[in-house]
Amino acid sequence: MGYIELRNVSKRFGKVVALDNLNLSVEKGELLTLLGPSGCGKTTTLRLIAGFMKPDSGEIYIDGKNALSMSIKERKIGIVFQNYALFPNLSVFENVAFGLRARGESERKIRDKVQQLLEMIGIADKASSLPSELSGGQQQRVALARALAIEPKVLLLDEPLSALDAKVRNMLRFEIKRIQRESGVTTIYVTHDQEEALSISDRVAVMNKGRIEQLGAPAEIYLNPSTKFVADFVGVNNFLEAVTWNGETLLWEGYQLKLKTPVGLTPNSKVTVVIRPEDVLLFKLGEIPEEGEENLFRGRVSGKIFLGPITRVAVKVKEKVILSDSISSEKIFSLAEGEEVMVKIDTSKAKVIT
Amino acid sequence: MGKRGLRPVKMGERRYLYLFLIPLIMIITLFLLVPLIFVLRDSLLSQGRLSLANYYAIFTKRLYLSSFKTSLLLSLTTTAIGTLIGIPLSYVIYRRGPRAQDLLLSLTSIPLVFSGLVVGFSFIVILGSSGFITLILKKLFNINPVEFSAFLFTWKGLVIAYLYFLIPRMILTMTAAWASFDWNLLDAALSLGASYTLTFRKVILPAIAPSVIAGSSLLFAVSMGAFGTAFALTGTGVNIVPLLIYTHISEVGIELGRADALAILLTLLTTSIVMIYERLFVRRSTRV
Repeated sequence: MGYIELRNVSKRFGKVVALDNLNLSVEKGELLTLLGPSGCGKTTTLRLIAGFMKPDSGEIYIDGKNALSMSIKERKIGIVFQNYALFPNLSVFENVAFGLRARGESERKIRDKVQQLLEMIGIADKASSLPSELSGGQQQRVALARALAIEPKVLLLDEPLSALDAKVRNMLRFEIKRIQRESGVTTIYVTHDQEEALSISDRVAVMNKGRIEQLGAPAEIYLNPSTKFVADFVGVNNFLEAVTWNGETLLWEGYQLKLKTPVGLTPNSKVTVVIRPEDVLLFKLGEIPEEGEENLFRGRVSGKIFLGPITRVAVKVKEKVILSDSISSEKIFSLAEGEEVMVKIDTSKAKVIT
Repeated sequence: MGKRGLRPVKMGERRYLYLFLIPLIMIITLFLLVPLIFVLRDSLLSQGRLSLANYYAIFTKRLYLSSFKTSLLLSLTTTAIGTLIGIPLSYVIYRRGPRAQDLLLSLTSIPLVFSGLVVGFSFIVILGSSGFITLILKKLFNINPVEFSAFLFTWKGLVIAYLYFLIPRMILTMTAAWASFDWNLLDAALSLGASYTLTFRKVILPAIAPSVIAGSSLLFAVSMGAFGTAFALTGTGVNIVPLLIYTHISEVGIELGRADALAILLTLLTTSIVMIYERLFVRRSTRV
């Protein structure tokens, strides 16, 4: 049994099903991310664990005990909100001390604990400031310190970085990870940002329509998406709708695509081939012999985006657009819109989803 | 989450914007400042000569002093009760969800549509000696209807009647406060282990305090000045300042100067109490 365990948990709001028989097990000390689009049920899951609402059915266990019979206070959960939710009328010190005071700790323990936390998050000098006098990143740190002050059994982070600008976000990402490692607190992190999820988590649960589509280590989710939804959500992907022909060939848009298909598929079944833009190679005409090459298609450049180290080029093959990522170079920059090019799909990296 | 700031206004544009204020300035001047100046001037005239006689009379005669006392008693009571009832009601209405909220809020504003006279008479119809609730109570408990309804025509009766149009004002003011309240604060406090009492005192109260102060100031000002309801219910039977002003301008010995002085003092008293109250509490609630 996991440290946090959700069993067949369902929750609806009116006619909307927020959670649909959700099962989730979080190990002690791990950082698990719930990743998904808005409305997928990830925040509802957090609120149920925190005790802000009750599930319509199902069970929730925290540290082996039935959480549904515990009050919010008894669950001892630290939560960090997207908008920080710092008490605007209380100083930084009092915000962090709030939970300790509410739980009747001694004045001395409060002083030591708050001081230690403020030092950990690096804003001990702002102890007497009001939240409104801090930057967004500092406010987020205070929110984190406030949640950790009660030495929670579980730390819940609800899109904690989404209101910050990219630079602060990236920095705080690592800091949250460090603090979580050091404190060893079991953490559930909610985000819709796949990059954030992949970079920070021990495990990622990709959620869709109130269910978990796939649960696994970040690399596993990224490299081996088990559904089209996961593949689409976790990274920019090309989806080629094809039909099987024989064990080694698919038909796509009238072309042959050489690719080992999963065993057990009968010819003429519909499949989706997922291929990442970095596995689609781009060539100028004449750069590669057209004869004798497999999975090589002729297309026209329909657009390109410069992304810094790489450049993403959209190539129209027949009527389908295929995205191809290349290391940014003079050759790629010189491509003109409408120019004819060759794309080669590296099908050894492709994933077939039925 | 991004709050968009107001677009900065260029200097020329700003001058142009002032044009829109002209109607407002005209209305304030014509219907507030000018009458007030006239009232002030007339209050300082006695038999055509400049004098403080009107004010002297008010500060020395019991009738006048007790009218201010009753007015204050009535207004402070209605304000306190209206505020205490209005806050939880507004909370319940807000938490009902948007659809119920729309309906309940439109119902809430209905009492504000009626003139004070109508409110007064409706209370006579309901709670007067032959009012329908009075008659039901008579049937059920065999009470004396005249004795029962007598309270309606005292200042205590006015408290009940005033609350009818004061509570909606409190609710409407408070709804704005609930709408801008960050409900995550509540969840944060509870999960940190705070009791509901502590959460209310440390988190909710500081956040809604400005609206509570604004709302209760409004209630106080409205009940200090209310006339129609009191007039309909008690004639001039209860000695409150607005009714006393009326008797000085309508009944036999008309004493306009006295009425003007009463009006000036009522204005000063209400305004200064509201100002002191707001200063006192707004300071405190922003500091904590």
